[in-house]
Amino acid sequence: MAQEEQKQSRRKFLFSLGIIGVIIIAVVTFARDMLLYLFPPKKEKKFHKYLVGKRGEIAVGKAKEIKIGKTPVYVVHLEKEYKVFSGICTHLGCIIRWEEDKGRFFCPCHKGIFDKTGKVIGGPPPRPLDQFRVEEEGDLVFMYVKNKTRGPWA
Amino acid sequence: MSVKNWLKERFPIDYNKFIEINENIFIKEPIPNHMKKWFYCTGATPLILLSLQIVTGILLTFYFVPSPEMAYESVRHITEDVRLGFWIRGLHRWGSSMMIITLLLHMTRVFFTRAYQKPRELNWIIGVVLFLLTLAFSFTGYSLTYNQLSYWATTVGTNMFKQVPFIGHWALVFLRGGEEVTANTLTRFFTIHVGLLPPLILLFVAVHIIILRIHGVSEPEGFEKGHYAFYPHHFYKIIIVTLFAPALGF
Ligand code: FES
Repeated sequence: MAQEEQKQSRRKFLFSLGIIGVIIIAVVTFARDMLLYLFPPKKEKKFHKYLVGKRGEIAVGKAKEIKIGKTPVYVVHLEKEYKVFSGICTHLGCIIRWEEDKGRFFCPCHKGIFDKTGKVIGGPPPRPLDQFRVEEEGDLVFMYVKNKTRGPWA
Repeated sequence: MSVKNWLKERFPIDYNKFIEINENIFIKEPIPNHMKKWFYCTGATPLILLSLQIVTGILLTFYFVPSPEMAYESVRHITEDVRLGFWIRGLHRWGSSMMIITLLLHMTRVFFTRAYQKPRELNWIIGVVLFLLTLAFSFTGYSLTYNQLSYWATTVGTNMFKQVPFIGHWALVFLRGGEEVTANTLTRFFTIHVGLLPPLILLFVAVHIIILRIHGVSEPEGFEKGHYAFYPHHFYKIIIVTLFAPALGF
């Protein structure tokens, strides 16, 4: 008799232990998932690498136009380094063009003028041309474009 | 001084009595024998699903943006980009459908076992109000995703209010925030969905349960008389029934 009672209670004990264990696992997993949901993972900014030129291809002080998608960028060979400028005017977003003879960028919309280092030298643009990160690897010149993220959740 | 004593001094009530009362309410509630059949246990299912909806709904508002440009985009963001966002949104979306289905099951049971008869008519009426509130939840929630389907569902749904005699046009303008479905409609539906309806439904659920407890569950004929305690048998039963509903749905 006594033994049977003991057996019964042990069985009950194991049963409730199992139930409580499962409930705890469920609650903890749920809480963990909710935290994962609430805290966005740290994202490394991803860049896309484009080959934009070879050393010696562009003479010093000259620029080369390259199309990325629909918008042009300009690779400029300055004395010490290469620079890549966005072809979008910083005023109201027209497409600028490189004036080979004058060695400067010209925006036809409101006559904005930028020199070959991107600085504003005339017209309404409020700030210099936007630049892209440039790296030289051996004889090759690369530019880095940030990967686009959809929407405002960078 | 222990935490317990600290609390006792600042919140002086008889704790043993307090525990006893709660035990009687939540654990030892007498359940009539016929409730061992699952068909009689469908009432708690919508309640459990409702709490799930509240939790997942609050979580969704952390990322959802109720504006015409952003609503669809933010829902896409939740489903595709946010970690486990698809899971939270899926629970909310399917939970809503499950709530309707289990409510219909519950109402069918009550109707065919004549559980709505005197003195429980008032509770039946409150139950119908709860059902309508759930439908209002579904309608407003559906429009929040702001895709083509939900936009036109909102347009057609609000159009129906126009047919109500006398106040129809007024109701339409109130719901849409103007003559057309615009950003006003979206923010209104969002406010109704997360601000107005939840306290209303909680209030009615509370009254529903209080009346149920006052009269006790109606007992159909043909079952052995007798009662058993809420915990553990009934407790696990309603959880199993609740888990079964989404399992059927998926
Ligand atoms: S847009 Fe280029 S100067 Fe106005």
